[in-house]
Amino acid sequence: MSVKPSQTISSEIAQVIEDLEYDFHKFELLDFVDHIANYRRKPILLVPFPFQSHIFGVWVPALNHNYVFFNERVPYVHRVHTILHELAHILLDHPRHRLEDVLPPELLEALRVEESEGRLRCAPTETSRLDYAEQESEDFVLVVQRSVVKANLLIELTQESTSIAGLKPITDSMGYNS
Amino acid sequence: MSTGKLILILALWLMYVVLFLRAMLQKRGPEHLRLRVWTQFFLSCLAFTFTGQDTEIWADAFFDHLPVSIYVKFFCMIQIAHLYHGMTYTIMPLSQARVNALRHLHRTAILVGLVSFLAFILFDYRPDLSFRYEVNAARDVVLALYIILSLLPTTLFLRRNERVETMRLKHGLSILFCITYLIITGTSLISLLVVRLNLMDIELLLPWFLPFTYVLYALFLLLLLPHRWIVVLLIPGRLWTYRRLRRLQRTVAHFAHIQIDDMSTRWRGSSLFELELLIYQVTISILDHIPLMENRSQEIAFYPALAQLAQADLTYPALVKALVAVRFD
Repeated sequence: MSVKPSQTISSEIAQVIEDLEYDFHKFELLDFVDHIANYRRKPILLVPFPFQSHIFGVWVPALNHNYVFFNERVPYVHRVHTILHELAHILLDHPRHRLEDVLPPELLEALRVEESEGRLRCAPTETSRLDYAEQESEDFVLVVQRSVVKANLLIELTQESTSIAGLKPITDSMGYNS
Repeated sequence: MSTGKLILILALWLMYVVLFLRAMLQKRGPEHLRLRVWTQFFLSCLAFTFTGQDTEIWADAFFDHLPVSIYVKFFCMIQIAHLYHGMTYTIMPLSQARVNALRHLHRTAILVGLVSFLAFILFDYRPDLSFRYEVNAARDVVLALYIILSLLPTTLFLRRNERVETMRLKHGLSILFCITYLIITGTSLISLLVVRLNLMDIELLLPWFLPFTYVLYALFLLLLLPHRWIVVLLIPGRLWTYRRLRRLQRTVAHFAHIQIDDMSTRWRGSSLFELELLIYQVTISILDHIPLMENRSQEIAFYPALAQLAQADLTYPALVKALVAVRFD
């Protein structure tokens, strides 16, 4: 992942985030996904998939849905990052590429995906580092990260305020995680 | 009451009001829990307000020297323990026998307290100064039983199972709080014996006993603080984690034949949250590049450990800890 200081984040990304009118004080991943789906008026389905280790996620637009496949074998924090990256492709209307040998044809057929096109997030290469769309998506995730951190909710990206489920309502009530 | 103590009490109440309003405005957590939690802190502040013999004498003067102060503390502190027990005993389930025992203890203590206080009012009786030692000892014994049977076992369980560092720190402080209170219970019982049997001047024992009370107050104030305010205690550890991850990131990038923008993940000492954000970003960068090392896996001794972590179902804190522990140097 290549990251940039916030000053070099494009104004387009900043505008897209602002237009979302999302309250990052209440950031939760699934809530954010739903918000974007409503904003774009097209459902977004998150699908876990046992990709090889170097493939982290894929965005595949279909007729009635946007599918975001994510590698189910990677740690949660990596999955979240990948999902946010794919959401960026959706929001920023990035051009799609032909996806060869990423998803089984029968799966694509079942999902009514006519053309196997989309965006792939995988282990970075020199090519992907030069791809502006990939860089823009990483920048988008960076902005979301900063917004969430500013809203003191890094825990939502990392799934932790307390690791003990029964204690979380109590710590939330105390305002401990802010 | 001395001016210093008055300022301390006012500062405590101010802190309570600010934190309480903050918690209510944020509306995080179920409302009934929020009220319950902050009722406990309110009762704690109330009990603290009446702390100290001089304060008790000063406050009781407003009630015609009825022992109001020691009873306020009695009821407040027992109720605090009971409310906390009620919130937490399901997290680490206690035996029904213990739960029932504590329920009976609570009812008995409150009933005895109410009846005795009412008796003072009805018979217009003013106890001597040594009475406070009896009430304090009784109160502390009740609290000690709550600590031994519920609060301490639960907190130990929470600390053992907690993986968030700031929360582990809080559990550690809670354990210290419990242990300190058990010591204070011992001092209360000793004080009662000394006074009742007239063994010696109780004032001679105060320099030995009072420090534990101050430790308790300090721990209470620390427990009141939100995560962010005490996270400063974790800076050295997080800085070390960050530096270690950065070195791992550079090492991974070297073996993956990828150039990374090193400056973009450099901490400029701006804020703790920036540091946490950078730890997060460096972690993602490492995870992204691990698959690129596969071609050279035979020559990289630490590759199997990294490959395993890249596919591990670990929580974020556990993942960071595991990455830091990888022996790459």
